[in-house]
Amino acid sequence: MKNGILYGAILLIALLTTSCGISKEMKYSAMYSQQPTSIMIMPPINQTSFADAKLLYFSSLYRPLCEKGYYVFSPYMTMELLQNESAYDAELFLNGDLKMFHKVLGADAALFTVIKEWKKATLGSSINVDVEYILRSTTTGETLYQREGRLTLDMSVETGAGGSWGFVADLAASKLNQSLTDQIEAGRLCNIVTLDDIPLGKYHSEYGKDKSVTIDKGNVIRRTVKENSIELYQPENQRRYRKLIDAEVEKMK
Amino acid sequence: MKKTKKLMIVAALCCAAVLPSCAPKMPLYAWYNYDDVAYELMKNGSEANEEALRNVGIRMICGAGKVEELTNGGKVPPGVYAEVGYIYFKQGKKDIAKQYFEKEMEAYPESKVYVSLILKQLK
Repeated sequence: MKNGILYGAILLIALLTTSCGISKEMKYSAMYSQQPTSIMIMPPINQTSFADAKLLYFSSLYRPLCEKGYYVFSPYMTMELLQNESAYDAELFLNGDLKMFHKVLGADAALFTVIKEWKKATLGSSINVDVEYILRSTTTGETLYQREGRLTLDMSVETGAGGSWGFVADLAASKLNQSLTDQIEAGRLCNIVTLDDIPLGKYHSEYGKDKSVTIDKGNVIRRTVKENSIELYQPENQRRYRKLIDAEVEKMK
Repeated sequence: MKKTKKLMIVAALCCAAVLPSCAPKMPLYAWYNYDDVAYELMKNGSEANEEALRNVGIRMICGAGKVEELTNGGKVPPGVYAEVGYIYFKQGKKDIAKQYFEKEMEAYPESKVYVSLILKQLK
């Protein structure tokens, strides 16, 4: 009986921690062996008809990568550099030689993103985003990390009108919410959710300690997220930070 | 009774195995409204938007120490000193730009190759 409970506990823990999973070290062995510390963000490759997606994505990748402990080159400076050097088209480099970026910027790795889908549902109130993330070494050219995020941002609003008119009222309220802000939130959430399991970098306090963490085996991450839930994924209180920073700056005046 | 105790231990072990992934995460840096301002600038590279990003960068630099307990050490995020310096450089304020570039290299040695290249243009 004693042994039965013990074996049961071990089996349950093993199931909870390893089912459908693989350790980060096994999935991203090249990342752990090469240990890149600095990342440059390449201009996103936009395969959709949503024209704003490219710049929206370019600017939104910086923060989640910094939060994972990497030195990330300013996307604004990178954009100007690549435009000046006529190298703004990332498709030219997706499978090409990246050594020049190591030489000019000192970047260890380059992050490519391919935006495959960015679609608002016609009747329903949701945005579907599908983006592939490919991190390549600038010295060996090897792919260090690859993931595809398929995120649905659910923007449905419940008005509480109920009855047969409730559906119409819900739909109208949802439509009003479909602004660029929603598009931006969909993109940012896709980054945060998909890049969540990237091995941690040098500036993270858990650097080197995450090798045994179990992550999804497959390359595709699928999530449906409710609107206005970005704070759940970025648990810092923006307003509190802004207030504190403003107070500090006022003191210095 | 003994059986109940064992079951409680099993339950506690299971929770311990699952809960760490749910623990709240401490952000490394405070970002003010950086994302929004950076997006606006990349979409429309006007002088006003450049000025706005520079000002956000300065606020992040001045306020980083103030939010030390809310972040992981109160450091300025990578690239922010360099970005502020770069905008000063574009505005022709080379002496101030140089100071920010040097701070970037001091805080983040990974920036040396690129920032040294820009510093050469300052001379």
